[in-house]
Amino acid sequence: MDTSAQKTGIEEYLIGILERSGRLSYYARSRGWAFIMTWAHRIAGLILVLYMLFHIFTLSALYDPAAFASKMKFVNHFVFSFLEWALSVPVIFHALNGARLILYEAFGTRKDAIIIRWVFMLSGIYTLTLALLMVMGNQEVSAGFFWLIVAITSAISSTIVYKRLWHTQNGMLWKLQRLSGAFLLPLVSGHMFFMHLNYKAGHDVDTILARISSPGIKALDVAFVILVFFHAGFGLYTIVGDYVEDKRIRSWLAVLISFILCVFAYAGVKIVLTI
Amino acid sequence: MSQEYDLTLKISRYDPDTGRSWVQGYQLKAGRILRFVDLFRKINDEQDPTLAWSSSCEHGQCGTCGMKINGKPLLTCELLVENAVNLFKTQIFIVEPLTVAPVIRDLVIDMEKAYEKVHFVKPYIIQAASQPPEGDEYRISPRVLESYVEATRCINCFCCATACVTQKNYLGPNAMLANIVRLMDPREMAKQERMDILYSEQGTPRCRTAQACSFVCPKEIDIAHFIALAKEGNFR
Repeated sequence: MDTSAQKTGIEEYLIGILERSGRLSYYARSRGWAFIMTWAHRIAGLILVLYMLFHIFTLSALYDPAAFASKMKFVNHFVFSFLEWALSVPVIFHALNGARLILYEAFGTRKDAIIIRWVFMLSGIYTLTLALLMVMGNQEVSAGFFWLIVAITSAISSTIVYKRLWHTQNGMLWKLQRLSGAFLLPLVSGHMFFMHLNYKAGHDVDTILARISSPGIKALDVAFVILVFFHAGFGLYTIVGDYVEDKRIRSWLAVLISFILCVFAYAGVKIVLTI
Repeated sequence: MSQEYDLTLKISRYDPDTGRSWVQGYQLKAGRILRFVDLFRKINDEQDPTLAWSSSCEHGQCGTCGMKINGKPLLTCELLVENAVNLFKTQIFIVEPLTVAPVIRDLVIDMEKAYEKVHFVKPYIIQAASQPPEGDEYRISPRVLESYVEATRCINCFCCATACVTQKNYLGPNAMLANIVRLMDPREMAKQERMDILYSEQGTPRCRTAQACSFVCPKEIDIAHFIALAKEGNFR
């Protein structure tokens, strides 16, 4: 009754690690790997929602560049640098595992054990690369060129998913969730990568202001903010729907989630457009 | 080989008369090819006649003896002691009833309640295609049958529904499968009614593709695959 995911090399190794955790090994044996991936996806998503709210809050200081620069001093602190790098773990895991789910649900990819292996491997490579870039701290790339490539990749991936899913009878919001995920995968992983190419410059207020003065990058950032908050909102509503049976409470929670995320999305768009 | 195992079964008990719930431990020696239903019978015969559990065919065909063993929903008539020891790498087993319906007593759940979701999707041909000529059978091409025959093996044991991430506001994997089987059946004409159920709020949007249903299915049906076919838009 073991899934093929439990019989492949890396998963065997990871199961060895899981054995040390009673709770995780319990679910690995009783529900399978994809079940654990689902929970990890959900937890990573919740971490990212909280971080996005914090991120918009910190970016709001950009209205006063001097105050922002002073606040950003703590960026150079080892603990913050480590936390920012650690954030790449839920970011890339959520992005790649989301891609795995889209492959399964929309592209008929049933070799899930192999895809799970790729999610782990690529997540590891990505996070280690970011760590290496942080240590080096001296990479240079043209912002315009970098974001053009990211934008093209996002457009292609979301178009492919659109063509695959839009004609289906799945709900509109359900389809938009997959589409926004496909658009955000290159965008979010690209954003973190870009910020780590030159860690100090990436957090320098003048560099940030110069970068987002470009209309193209502004447009991309606006799309980024709107799609991230839509994706987060629908994700949260999905979790609510899985646990709250009372329709009225569910509706009220949907309104509350929408209101909070719309406020932050508005604040984020305003920052991008007005500074 | 007549190897014997010293087993400990920690069984969830519930007395509906007093409303009391507790976990009761039983120590027993058992041969390697005894099934878990045999262990329950052994407990009834040798230690505690009050332990209530349910089974019927005891050949993995009726789905009555589904329970959670160390958290994994499975058919206890199919689980041999030796396989359980190897699977869970322990000789201590926590035995609990499935979570899809209220417990009636000990390990027995209200199957009528559990079946409500299956009944909701109308697990029969709602509107049959026109009858073939007198004396002839309705023919389904082998290629079409091949695409869904695996799903017809479902016995509604509710192991999948117990393992599922989504426990509320969802039809559950087996009821979804019961609907999908009829959607794929060329004899069914009421496709739109079935599609409306499939994509309703309690349908595909609640599936998280955690694939626990496929992982635990005693009949080895890849239930997640069939639900994903719906998400892919394969039924029109």
